[in-house]
Amino acid sequence: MVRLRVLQAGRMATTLGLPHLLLLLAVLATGLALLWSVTKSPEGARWSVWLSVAAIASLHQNRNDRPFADRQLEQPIQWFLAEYMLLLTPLWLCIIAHGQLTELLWMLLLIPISILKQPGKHHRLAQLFKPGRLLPREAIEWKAGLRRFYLPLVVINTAGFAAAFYPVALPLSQVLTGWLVMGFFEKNESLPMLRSFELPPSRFLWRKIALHARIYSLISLPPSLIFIFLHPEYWFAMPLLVLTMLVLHTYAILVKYTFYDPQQASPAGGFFRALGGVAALLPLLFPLILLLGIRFYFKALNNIKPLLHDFD
Amino acid sequence: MILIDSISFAWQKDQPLFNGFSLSLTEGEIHGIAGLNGAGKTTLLNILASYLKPDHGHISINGNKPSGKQIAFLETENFFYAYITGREYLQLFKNKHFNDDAWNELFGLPLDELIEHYSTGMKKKLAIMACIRSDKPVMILDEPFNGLDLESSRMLRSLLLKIRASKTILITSHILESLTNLCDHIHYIEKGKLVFSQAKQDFDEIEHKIFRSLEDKHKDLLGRLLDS
Repeated sequence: MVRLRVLQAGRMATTLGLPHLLLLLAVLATGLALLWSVTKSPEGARWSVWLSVAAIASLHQNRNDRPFADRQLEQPIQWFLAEYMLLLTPLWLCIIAHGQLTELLWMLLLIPISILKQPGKHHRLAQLFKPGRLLPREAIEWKAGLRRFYLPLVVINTAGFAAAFYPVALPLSQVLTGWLVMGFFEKNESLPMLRSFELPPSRFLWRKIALHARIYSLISLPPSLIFIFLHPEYWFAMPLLVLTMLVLHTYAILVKYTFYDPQQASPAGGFFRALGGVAALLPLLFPLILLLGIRFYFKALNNIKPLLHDFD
Repeated sequence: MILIDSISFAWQKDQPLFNGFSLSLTEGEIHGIAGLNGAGKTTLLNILASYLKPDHGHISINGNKPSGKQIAFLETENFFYAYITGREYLQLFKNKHFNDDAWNELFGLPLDELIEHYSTGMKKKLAIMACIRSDKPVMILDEPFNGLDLESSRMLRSLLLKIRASKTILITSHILESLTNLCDHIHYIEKGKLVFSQAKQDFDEIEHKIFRSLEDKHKDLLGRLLDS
């Protein structure tokens, strides 16, 4: 398994190419510097731990190699835990270095909980949920995504509304929801699904973006209105957050079609999507996301042009 | 009519799979593409569906470039979002006149269940139903019988025979019988080369042509392996 992981990492580095690899290293270095400075205070360390736990939970729910690991390994949970602790090495090193031992204990407690198997009723709940009645037939990512992340979405938003009297609650639930929504655009559809729109490349991309913007703005309206009602002094925070998330989601859509290959997942696509996810937390990365978004718009057009050229 | 004119295609440079491959497929008939594993059947279908671009040569469908407007394509492995229902998937393919529930009496799918709960055969039937729903003049079906039970295979055969008059249907299968029972023409390819094309009335010769040389080869190899 260790050998497989090393081989996978090697292949991913090769697929990314040198410029992207350098970009990845630069982002990692910036992230590490930020983590070091944030974890100096107990509050910063606490936030870092909670966000990392959320990221690990999301990563664990979405990884495709779980059935493989369950079959091949005697103790898959121990293996996953070891992997996640290795991935979080910078965080726990920073926490230990700054002497935030309570936060370290929280991390050691929460990471195993975050990867516990979801209750079996999850699929039944997803089945009962009928977004198809409310959403346009083309919003296939939303229909699949809302069911896939049904449970975390309900938990995050219920918690957000319940704690809405605290100014941080609704914006935080909005960030986490926005993060999950980015995951809706992770999987590539099949060629027949792509062609079912019967649109040329540019109209296809704009349709996808506009449809998403419409749905996301609508579902963000209730928390935004409640937030503005409860905390009018920060009225600008939620519209700004929704706008930021819309930019990041548009970026995720463009990444998807830049690296689109019917039914295949692209390591480079995964990396750039993750970069968008990180940008939700590090405003420093936002200009880079904007620039990459513009570049990816043209790259996405070129990539899907051979598949949709005839709908011109 | 589909005209494939001297196409060349290589997955790796200097190792062409197709090199000047030509074939013409007449309308209103079912054409079968047969060949061993790795012969290039799926690659050829992907080129026809304009998912892959040939390095040289050109393809025309009724005088036009191949396009998604004309082709319904059933891929070997059908990918679906697990968390959508069969009905939601079908509704992606616009067709006002197609009644999902009426057609589903034939296919017998739980259309309001999530695709995650579908078996391999059910997913295949859903993909076939989507091809029919999209109502294109050309249907390209890569291994449509894979994963189907006996009853569904027979149903699909009857269905294709019924609709062939208004369409050009191209099918691959690694099971020769499923092609001989259905097709009007069978084209046998080997390592990217067209070995022969046979019309329905001469299908008896196909097995003889394909398997005689293979049987000799296998006998020879098995003899050597078991003796050692």
